[in-house]
Amino acid sequence: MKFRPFLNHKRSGKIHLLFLLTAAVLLSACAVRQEGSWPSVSSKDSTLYVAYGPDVIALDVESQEELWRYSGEGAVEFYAPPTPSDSDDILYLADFGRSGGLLSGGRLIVSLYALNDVQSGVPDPVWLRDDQINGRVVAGFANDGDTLFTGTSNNQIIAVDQESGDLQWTFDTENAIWSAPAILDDVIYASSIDRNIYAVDKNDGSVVWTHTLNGAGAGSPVVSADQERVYAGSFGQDFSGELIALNATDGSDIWQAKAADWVWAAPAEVDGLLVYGDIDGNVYAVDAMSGEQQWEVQVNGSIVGDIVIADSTIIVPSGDETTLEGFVTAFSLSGEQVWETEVGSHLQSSPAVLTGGKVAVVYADAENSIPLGVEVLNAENGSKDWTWTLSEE
Amino acid sequence: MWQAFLNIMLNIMVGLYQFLGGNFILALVSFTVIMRIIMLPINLRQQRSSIKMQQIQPQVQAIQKKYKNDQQKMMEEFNKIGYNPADSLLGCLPLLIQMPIFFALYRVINIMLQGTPLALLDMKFRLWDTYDLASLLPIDNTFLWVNLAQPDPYLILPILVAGTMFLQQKLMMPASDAAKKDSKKKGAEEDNPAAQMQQSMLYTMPLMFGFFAMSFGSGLAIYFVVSNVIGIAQGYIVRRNLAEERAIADQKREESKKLAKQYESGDDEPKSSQNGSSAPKASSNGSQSNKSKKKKKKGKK
Repeated sequence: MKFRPFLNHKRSGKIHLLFLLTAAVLLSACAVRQEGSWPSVSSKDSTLYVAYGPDVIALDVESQEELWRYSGEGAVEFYAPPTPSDSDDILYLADFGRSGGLLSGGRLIVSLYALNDVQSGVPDPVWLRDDQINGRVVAGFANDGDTLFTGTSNNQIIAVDQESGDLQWTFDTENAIWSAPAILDDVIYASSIDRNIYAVDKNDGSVVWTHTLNGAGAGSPVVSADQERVYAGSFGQDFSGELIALNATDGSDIWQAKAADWVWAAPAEVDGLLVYGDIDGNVYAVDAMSGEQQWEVQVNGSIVGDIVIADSTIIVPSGDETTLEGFVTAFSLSGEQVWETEVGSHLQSSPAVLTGGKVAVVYADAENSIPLGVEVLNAENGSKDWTWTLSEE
Repeated sequence: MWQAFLNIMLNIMVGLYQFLGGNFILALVSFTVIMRIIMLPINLRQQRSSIKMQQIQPQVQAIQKKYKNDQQKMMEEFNKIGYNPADSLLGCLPLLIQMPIFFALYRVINIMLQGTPLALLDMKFRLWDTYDLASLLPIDNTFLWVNLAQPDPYLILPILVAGTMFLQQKLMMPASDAAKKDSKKKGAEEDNPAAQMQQSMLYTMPLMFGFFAMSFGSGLAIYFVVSNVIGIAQGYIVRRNLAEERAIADQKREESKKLAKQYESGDDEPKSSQNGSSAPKASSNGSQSNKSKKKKKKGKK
């Protein structure tokens, strides 16, 4: 095939230049492409705090109004759910970091935030620290009233002073931590992708014990209702996941329960029953003391967000990564399905339980152009009380 | 289509990672070698084409000079000697073909090494059922001083990317003795678009890729460096093996120069050289030159 006489030597030179420019533009687009995050939600009283992209948004469920939006420092994204203070009108946040610039050699700037007046008005930072940590934060904070604890993607468990935002201590693991730690007395428990669960003294960051799991741990550990055990899910091995119960004091193995696939979501304990789910959509209930299986059911899609309990009903968020369908399914303690409600898109983060028997879920998918949406469901029958979608403004 | 291609690339990389004992760098180097082997026929063809183009450059330049104000006539004369300006874009072909691989590899490296929940979920659902991904986790994303998902903080890799790409480009350029001699002549490049393009590519491409390596994950920068080093070795071997072809090219180039002088002296129909061979053609297919001859005869009638 010939291009004559259209393509003379001058034009071919221009086409060559055009090719170089196109390549430059495409490569630039590639280089600056954000990897994206999933949205997360937390609640206090009747207020929902949604973190997604560069914004944190407060929604009032009773008046069904958006209260405010707060944008993070620079071109950041939020992964972690905001953590409301139990005692004060303060919201704690950590972002997923922003680039330090082209010549910074990939240096990340990660900010920690404490916003005040979150329920009464437009929030202002009490403190905003971008000089304390340099690992992206995916997990929310655990909070003991004085100190905030979380994990980072650069393999650390960190403790941050609530008053000042100062870093108190760090504890190094071998890989990323994607879930909020659990606290029991003076010990915090954190699961890591490095296949370990760590028990660390919350006062000085010294290790209390370490237990090696059969697979990576992505979800939060959960302390049992009687404060004797710590439950942790893992990706397991040989194409199966598992849930393990450890002695909270010394980390010794009490029982293990199998799952058909990765156990990512944190389990929930209710009335001596421990309920957990896997990424294949299987929901299991075992006796919390012995690990003996009580029942097993299945939901549509994968379970990644935590299972929660609302008014003695087991609430399971799920989503199909292929069809992008999202579901919230409720089960009784005996394993009977009470209701199933389809929501706007696939769910990847944990629901928030609100006062008045309500549950809120949040979804978004930038890659598939699904905007941020929040749905508030009645835990008793699954009916939708309120659907909120991010407006273009 | 793109997603299917991406999934294949990801599965190949994960397969190599698993097969090579969980060493990401080994997997990346093996992947690069495989890609280079796949690209070898195209690269060889491009280098041969480059040598053939080199043979007729004196004639091309003479035609351009003589018919600079008559594009139509210039193209007719180009056709007669079997030269197509579009062929000069063939030099970009290997790079164009590799572009989707670069983009896919960029995504694959991010999916495998980015270390975010979303990326891990993405990988989980893209992998074929034969892989037990849990047994491969955590994927080691460090190599020497760099985090493979992040740019090199000391900018050593971007410099290596630019340097090795420059060397590779330099080796890909036709560098016969005759061509070198000609290129030293003042204004020779101005009349030679192919040489101009090669010169611009020689400097712009390394700079561009070096620049982008400053914002890419180091894994991709390592891919470029390894790929370029293989390209340099390949270029060196090819140059040696094509030495004979190049000697013939130089001989034909000299003949082409003689024919070019005839253009310059005003002959529209340059005669064959004394040894009886016809004017060198860019096309390796002889049918093109025969057709040209027939057309000329018809025209005379």
